[in-house]
Amino acid sequence: MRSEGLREVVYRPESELRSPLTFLKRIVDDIRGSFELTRSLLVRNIKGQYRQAALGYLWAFIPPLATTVTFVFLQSQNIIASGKTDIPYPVYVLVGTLLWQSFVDALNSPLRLVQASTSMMASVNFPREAILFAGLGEVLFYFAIRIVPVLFILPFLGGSLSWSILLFPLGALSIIAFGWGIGLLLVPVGLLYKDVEMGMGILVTLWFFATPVVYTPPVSGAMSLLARINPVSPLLACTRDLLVGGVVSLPVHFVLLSLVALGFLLTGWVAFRLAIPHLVKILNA
Amino acid sequence: MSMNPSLPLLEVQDVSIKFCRDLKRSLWYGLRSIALEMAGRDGSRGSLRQDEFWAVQGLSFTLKRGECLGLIGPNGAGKSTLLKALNGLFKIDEGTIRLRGRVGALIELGTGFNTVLTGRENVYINGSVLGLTRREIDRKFDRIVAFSEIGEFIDAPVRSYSSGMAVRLAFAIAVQMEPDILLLDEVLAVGDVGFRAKCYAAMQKILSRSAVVFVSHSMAQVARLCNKLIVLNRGELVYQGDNVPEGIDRYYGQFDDAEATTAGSGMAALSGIRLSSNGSDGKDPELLTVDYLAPLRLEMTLKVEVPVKRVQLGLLFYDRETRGIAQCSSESGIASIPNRGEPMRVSVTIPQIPFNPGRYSVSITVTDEDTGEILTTEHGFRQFQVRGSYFGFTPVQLDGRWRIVPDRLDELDCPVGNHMAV
Repeated sequence: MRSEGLREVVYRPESELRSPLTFLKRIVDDIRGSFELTRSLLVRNIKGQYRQAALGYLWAFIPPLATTVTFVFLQSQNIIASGKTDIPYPVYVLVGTLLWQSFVDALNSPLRLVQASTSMMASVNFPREAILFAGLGEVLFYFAIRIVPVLFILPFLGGSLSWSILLFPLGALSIIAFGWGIGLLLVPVGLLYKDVEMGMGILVTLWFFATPVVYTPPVSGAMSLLARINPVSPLLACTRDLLVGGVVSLPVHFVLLSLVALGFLLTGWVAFRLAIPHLVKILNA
Repeated sequence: MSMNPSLPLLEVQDVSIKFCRDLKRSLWYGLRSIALEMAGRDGSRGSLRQDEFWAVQGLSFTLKRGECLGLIGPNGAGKSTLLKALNGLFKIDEGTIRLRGRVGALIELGTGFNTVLTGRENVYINGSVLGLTRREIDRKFDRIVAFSEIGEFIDAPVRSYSSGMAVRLAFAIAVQMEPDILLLDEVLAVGDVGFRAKCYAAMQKILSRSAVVFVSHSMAQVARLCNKLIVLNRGELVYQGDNVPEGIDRYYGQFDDAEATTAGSGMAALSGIRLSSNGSDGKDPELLTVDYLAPLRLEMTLKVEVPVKRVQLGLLFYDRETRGIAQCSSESGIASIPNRGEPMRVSVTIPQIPFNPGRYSVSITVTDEDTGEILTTEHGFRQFQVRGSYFGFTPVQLDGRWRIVPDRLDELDCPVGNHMAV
């Protein structure tokens, strides 16, 4: 008979923040206990997603490529005016689309995965972090498999890589962290009210056009204001410049926004932890 | 801290849980409670707001290793809710739940399964959801496959499995948990008869090592596995204690009795049916009480239409789950009952009723002996209560003659063994 110290858990109605030390200890325990499950879920999600598709993982790369081709074509026909870019336009669009795609993936990831796991959360008590980590892992995985072919294509499009590329992963991480942090903050309300999910769909489309993904922001007018207050703009522009050796714009903004992303992320995480027991009760008890 | 084996593994103190009937309002309450939680404050706990009701109220119990608590009640009684709360899946509104040791919960089988992936892949996913480490699963993998009887299908996508196969695989993974506390929700009745027997054996092994809370609608399973019982009905505590048969009886008391019905071709009619035991016939509305192994006597007036020449009578005894548990046919007693076209009085006496204490009902069927046609069936017209000192978990308790066999060869010819007394 096992008689060594048994782990004791206590559930109470009081807010978990009432005993911050226990709360922190549980977070640390859960992070420690979540690695294997994260790995299992990540493998499940990635393997499961394209197993029934003949083209398999190529599908991860096809949408951003299609966007690039579309905009390059539109620009070449003078249907849209992209503004002057200091790197070749196809490179500008391809890298921009890629980074934007990762931002949107990260933004949608927490709510999408938590939503898909409600019945699982209502029947097993596993470290809930695993769902989030698996989601983040998925975003990073798809970013990685998209960026590798891009690195090979770039020289053919007239792009040149520079030493600043070594800082590029940091930039990409900031963009992903920013999206993921906002996504996390949306989970508590978004899980209760579908309005969040539907609203986000529209918002993301508008946001795309307010971000220098496929064209440079105008220097004056309403659009320039929008581009300036849009926090994703400096993150995306900076990161793109790091990869293709453009002039790195707004480095201070970049650093500040990375810190904001970190703040979102930590707040979102705590909010998620506190909200889940309430959400499970309402959604699937 | 847990060297003491009598230390409870599960302590539940004054636990209450409330829910809201209205969806929109429940979302709003939820949002408020999340906001309060984040502000480090407590929500409205003790009182009910609009559209709220108690699913569980003021429940307390403790459970030690080796104990199995049955949680029973009609649908919507709050059983599964309580089980999920015990597992910490959601916030309780009042009280404290304290768990010591590794907790295993089988509330649903196959959580996390992805049907596009193979059985092998899903074993690892489901295993890690249940809290097994990768190394543990590696070690137990062959046992899981063997237990599930899946064979080479283990490398086929779960989508191609029959529902029985998927459930078998899920159960095979689940029984690999080695929990100190096991929370079980109605998952024992999976697969075919052969597999169920295996499940029971596996479950019994876990039961002896853990403290178990078991939610079920199968009183046979509850009676077999549990040594403590809580009967809930819509948040109310109907029964709590160690007397499992009494608790089961209280559980049955939560349902209305089925109404008496008459069926058949109508060529025969029964009237004046009288049920008695040892001279007492427990006048309506009082329930007739029959002592264990006491006789039961049934008397009735039978009128059969002329074309029918001979009839047979049959009694069928049912338990509270309307399972037929015993029969008594006139065919085994008298050759046949000739019909003279006039009402006749028929009686039957069963010398000993060897039923487990509890409530039973009886139906009478009259058949045409020549054609086999059912002329009339009277069902559920009368119930009786069997009273006894020994409670078992099968409907029939045979009356055995027990003795210790002397250890000497010359006395081997002594009478020994069971003696069926029906």
